[in-house]
Amino acid sequence: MRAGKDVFSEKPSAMTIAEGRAVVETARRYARIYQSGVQRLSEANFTFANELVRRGRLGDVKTVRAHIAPWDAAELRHEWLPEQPEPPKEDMDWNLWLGPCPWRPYNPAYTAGRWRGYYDFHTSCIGEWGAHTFAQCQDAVGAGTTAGIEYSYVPNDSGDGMVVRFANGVRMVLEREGWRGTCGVKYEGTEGWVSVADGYERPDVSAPALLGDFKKIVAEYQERTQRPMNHGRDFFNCIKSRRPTVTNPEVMHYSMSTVHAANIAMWLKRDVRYDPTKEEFVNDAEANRLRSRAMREPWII
Amino acid sequence: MRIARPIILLSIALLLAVPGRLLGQTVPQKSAENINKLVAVLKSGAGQKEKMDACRQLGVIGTKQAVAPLAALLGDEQLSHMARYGLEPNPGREVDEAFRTALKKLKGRPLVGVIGSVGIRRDSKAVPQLAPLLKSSDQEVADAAARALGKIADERAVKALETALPGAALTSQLPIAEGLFRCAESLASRGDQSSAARIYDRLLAAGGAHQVRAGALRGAVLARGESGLPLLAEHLKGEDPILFLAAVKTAQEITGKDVSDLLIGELSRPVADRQIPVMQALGKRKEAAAAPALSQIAQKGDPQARVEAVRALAEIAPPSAVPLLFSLLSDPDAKVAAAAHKGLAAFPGSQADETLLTMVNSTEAHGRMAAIDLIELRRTKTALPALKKAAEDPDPVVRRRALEAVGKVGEADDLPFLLARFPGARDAADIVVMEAAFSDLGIRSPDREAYASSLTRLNGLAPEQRASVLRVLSILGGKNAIAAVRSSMKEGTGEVRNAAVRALVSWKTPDAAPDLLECARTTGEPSEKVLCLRGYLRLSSHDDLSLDQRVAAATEAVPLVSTVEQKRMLMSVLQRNATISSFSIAARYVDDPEVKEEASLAATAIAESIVEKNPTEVRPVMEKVLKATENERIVERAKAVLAKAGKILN
Repeated sequence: MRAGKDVFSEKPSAMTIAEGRAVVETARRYARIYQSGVQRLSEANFTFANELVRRGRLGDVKTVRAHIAPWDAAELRHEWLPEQPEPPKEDMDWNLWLGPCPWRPYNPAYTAGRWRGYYDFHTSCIGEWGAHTFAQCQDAVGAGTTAGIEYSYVPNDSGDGMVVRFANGVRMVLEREGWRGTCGVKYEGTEGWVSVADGYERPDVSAPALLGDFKKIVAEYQERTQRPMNHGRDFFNCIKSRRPTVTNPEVMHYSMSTVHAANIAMWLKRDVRYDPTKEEFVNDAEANRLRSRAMREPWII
Repeated sequence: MRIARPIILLSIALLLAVPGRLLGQTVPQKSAENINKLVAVLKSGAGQKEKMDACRQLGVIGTKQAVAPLAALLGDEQLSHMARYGLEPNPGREVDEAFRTALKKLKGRPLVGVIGSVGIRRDSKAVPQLAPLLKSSDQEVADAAARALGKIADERAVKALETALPGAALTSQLPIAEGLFRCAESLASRGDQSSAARIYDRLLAAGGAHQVRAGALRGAVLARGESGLPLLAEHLKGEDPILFLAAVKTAQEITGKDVSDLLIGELSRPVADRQIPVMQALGKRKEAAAAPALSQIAQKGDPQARVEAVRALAEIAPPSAVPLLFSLLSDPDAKVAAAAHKGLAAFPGSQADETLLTMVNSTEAHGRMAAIDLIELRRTKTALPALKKAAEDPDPVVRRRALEAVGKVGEADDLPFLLARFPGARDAADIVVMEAAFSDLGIRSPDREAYASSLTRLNGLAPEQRASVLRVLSILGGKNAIAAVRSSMKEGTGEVRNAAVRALVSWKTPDAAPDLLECARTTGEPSEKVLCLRGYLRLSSHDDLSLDQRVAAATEAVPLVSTVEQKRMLMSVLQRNATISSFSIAARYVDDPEVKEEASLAATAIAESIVEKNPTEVRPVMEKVLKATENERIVERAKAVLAKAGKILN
């Protein structure tokens, strides 16, 4: 964005809270359009579920459930894979691939997908899917531009069952199971519930009548917001109109802040409290040290 | 690029002092003992990896005691980054002192890193050292200094950057602008808006990169608050396209009538490239006052501008736009008509519904059709009587569309209306739309059993109508529905029996499985046997069944399986349901040349799950798999299972 480009970024888009804040500031500073690849916010099933909450069709929603990846763990690895000769730079520039992360010797497994699970590269099983599902949940309950304020540590290796509480009183429960597909969310209200994940023909609902207005609700959302049910199209539309995208820097940053804070609670093995306005943990020097990571030169924020 | 050092093993003493468990943790326990151990690693002859781990951990738990040992590594090209990793989050003032000392000594990349860290820590005392670096011949150093000064943003930092801007080489302009942006943001956040505005003005006047000009205009307007509107207006009217778009974007960040008025004023210039973003901005602002201007553009002008005007009207949704949107439904420009249709489908409030009630009685068939489309999309319950009337329309196309819409808009209470008309619907197209309507109402019915029962009580139906009802029952499911389908299986012939079989085959719940198995066993029709077995195998792995039930169900199918397709389906079911029984069945097919690969995969996948409890049974089958399969991945997996079995048995 400093180079004057509008940017589409694959999620999770920020490895730390500080990086997320830098993305927000840079986009504002240069009047750039930015979109994070959290594409489910542009898909009809997920949009319908969020609209049910926003329209009060589920009553008072105080609990939402967010899918986290059923593989890997919250505690990440630090070991190195055995060193192998680096390929020619024109094929694969290892130094550039590492970017601001700590240096480590080359092994082709990293670039073939085994970067997952490493502290230097991955946001854990929580961020693997939480990068999507937290943004969806937060958007649904009107917490899209804030982050969770309380995180309850759970004594397991994944964060399964952790409860994140938002300032508006909504609880978000992190769960590894509960859906037939990937990246699921479930919203529970006093008058009904809706649950959806990838691969669902239509969302699961507490009462079939809720689905009767599916097309109407999605169409109304699109007209009210002028957001297409096509994530890439939303990005290109916004480049032309200069309107913020559906997953603009703030949406990315605040949902990823929730991911990072949940991870930090797991790493510290205790509850943490977070102030989304000050973007710091409350009276918690140890947690605050984990909000950023020094970047490998010449990369700097 | 760094060169990896040969891996150096830790000394035995160090291994005793710092167990790998400690270095492998993300957050070690904060204790003097642990800090001592980590500092000892830094000072020892430990390898690069171990020292890097120690740096990372000291970043979380390090105290004053860790500063000097970490700072000693700042000049080490291999460890400089991780030394900063350990120092940067440590809030102690000793860290700032260490960085300032390093600024005096370092060169190249390590210096770049330290400058970045100084910026992150906003160390004002470092400004006298950073300012001269803006002129460094090392471009990376100069760039880093500009950003760090921007982060610090005190009076001296601002002055250094402002002084550097006019004479800066082209390559340095962007970093210096970045530094100045940061200073302006910091000043504004501290309440010094006028100093911030001065910096933005300077950046705007300096010209340069388009993103700098765009950002500077935004900042200059926002820093001034209400007094920034003339500047915004100047660029909304200006001819520079970059600054025009930046002004439109900035306008979206400011609330209030004055900005809306500025934007609305810009619509009077009939230039589509300018009108379109302005209309989109007004749409986002939900600015009702823009409706007259938007309505004008929607009716005549550039085709794309007309479409955008309609969209903006739909987004703002002023009630006054309803008649216009209806009139545009028949616009010769299909894109305008489509935008109006979409807009009306989602237009809030009752006014659009009231207009639709009139329109559905239009003398023109296309008007009636458009009205029915919109009633269906809007789910306008008050239009149900009108829809039912349209279901008697002399035009068959309108009639069928109305029947379809009754299914979408109506409730289970509207079933009698459809039931009364169904026996008389002998035309195939009528039957198709009524079948869809029955399904739509039924799916939303709060009492599907009662709904299915009403359907099954219909008398005097032609075979094709009975077949249609059976298809609806298969979608509804439930006890009444399956009882009716069973009855049709027994008594029906021809089209009715065929529909009953197919209804069972597509049944969604396992209660149809026994009927399908029975049919597969007893039918004399080969095509029915194939269909029923396929349906049975699908239901045999249904989520509602327990693992043992699923395997038992699949086992029942084994004597009936004969074709390649059936064998493949069986293997697929077995593979997903790993027990020793499913394993035994899959093992039998490993020798079958028609499905040896599928059977090998199924057997291997199941073996992976059951090997720990059944190593003896698994071993010979895996050996058989290795002979049978030509798939390298299966070979690899089977060998792994064999190795595991061998380990358990030996």
